[in-house]
Amino acid sequence: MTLYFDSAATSFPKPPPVIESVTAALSSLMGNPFRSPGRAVERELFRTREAIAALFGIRQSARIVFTLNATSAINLALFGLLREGDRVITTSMEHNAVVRPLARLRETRGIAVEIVRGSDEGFIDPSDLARALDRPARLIVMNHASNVCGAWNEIAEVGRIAREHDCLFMVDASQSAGVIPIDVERDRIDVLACSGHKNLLGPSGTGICYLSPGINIDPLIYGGTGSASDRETMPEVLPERFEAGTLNFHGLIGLGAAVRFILETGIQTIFDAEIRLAKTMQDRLSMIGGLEIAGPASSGNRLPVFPIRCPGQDPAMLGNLLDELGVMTRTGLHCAPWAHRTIGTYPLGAVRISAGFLTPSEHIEMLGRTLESAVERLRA
Amino acid sequence: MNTSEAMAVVLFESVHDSLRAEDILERAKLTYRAIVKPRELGSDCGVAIRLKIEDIPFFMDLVSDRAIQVKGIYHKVDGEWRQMQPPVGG
Repeated sequence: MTLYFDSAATSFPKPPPVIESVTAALSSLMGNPFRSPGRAVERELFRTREAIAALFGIRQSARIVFTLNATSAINLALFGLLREGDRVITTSMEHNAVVRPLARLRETRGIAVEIVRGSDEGFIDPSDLARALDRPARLIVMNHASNVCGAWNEIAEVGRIAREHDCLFMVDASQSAGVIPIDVERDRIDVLACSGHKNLLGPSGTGICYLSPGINIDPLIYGGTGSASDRETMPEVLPERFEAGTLNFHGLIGLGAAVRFILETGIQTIFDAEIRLAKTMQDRLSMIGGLEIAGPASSGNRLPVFPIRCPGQDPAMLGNLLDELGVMTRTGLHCAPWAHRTIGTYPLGAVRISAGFLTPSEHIEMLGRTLESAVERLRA
Repeated sequence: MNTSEAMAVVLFESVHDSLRAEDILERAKLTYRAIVKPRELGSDCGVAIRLKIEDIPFFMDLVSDRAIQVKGIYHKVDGEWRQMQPPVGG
């Protein structure tokens, strides 16, 4: 039996309606969206967009662009928004999905990147962001929750600060979308990027980029959209302006089923369960002698994501042993070296234990016992 | 007036708006059909919606409440397309 504790990489299991909808789409739904007669596929994609709009309080679902993943969503927005000489504020907790595009833009467009440092626990103090806005900036880009340690920030406060300073606010919600309530109006989010396969519980190869009204940027990908085909330029209207090429529509139909599952369950119900799960796991992991847990000291503003290490040992040893014992985790830097530096786990990284809403509760105790035995073996 | 002349063709500013309109039509239980835009009304591969002329006023009420951008509504008179409704919405 395998215990799955790598939910921060991708959620598992998926809700049954997701599996059923993808299977049904693959077996009986004919056509290519916007390119074939009949409208069944388009209407399914429309339903997905509407469900996502409902989840995030988005008034115009047309402004939700489907992407391959969060990375492509983030690239679309950053390369579209940032111009020569722009100043952008980000945090030391970012994933390489943000770090690398910003590095490239610094190199090619001469943008200035100011990095606000997070605390040892992985939190960002909004007052530090406010201080960074003493000088004008085009954009604040930050994650809502850390993929390394689960620390999550009150983004509404950041959104308020950004708006007060006439600065755009972009949120990478890859870890939080589907578990923490997000409302783009309340939280004053101008750009929301996230993957579909993490806590949104959909299939991989899906992501979204929401662009609020007034954000007019160039596409990153050019090509056929099935519309305005008599022109050599991309359509002006959304979402097709940013959706050249055939979409992963089977995956997006699954994403729609996943988001409807979340809406039917209730985002607040999921959030409450997630916080309880984080506490249960933090309490259980804290009982294991010889194990160090990085990130938030308490489970308050923490998703169930735990970077753990045995002091003085290469985390790879623990990760490999857990793998042998049938526990799936992820070892290393988790594509987020800045975040590991911030919480003190760089350069070796950590073994990341992460769970989600559909993790069977009995697996927590099984994980605890397996970890106890693994740590004991490593200390012997 | 033959059967086709009792029908109107609605064009939209975007594919997304046409899908929103379809959603509204479904909910309102109006009979309609999504069709490929007639060539004479544009060469851009767009999708249009065909519905009964008598349902157009009700349809317009429904879409204007939802800020759906209608590019134009056409019907055929003596074999020629005539615009029966200017662009609305936004």
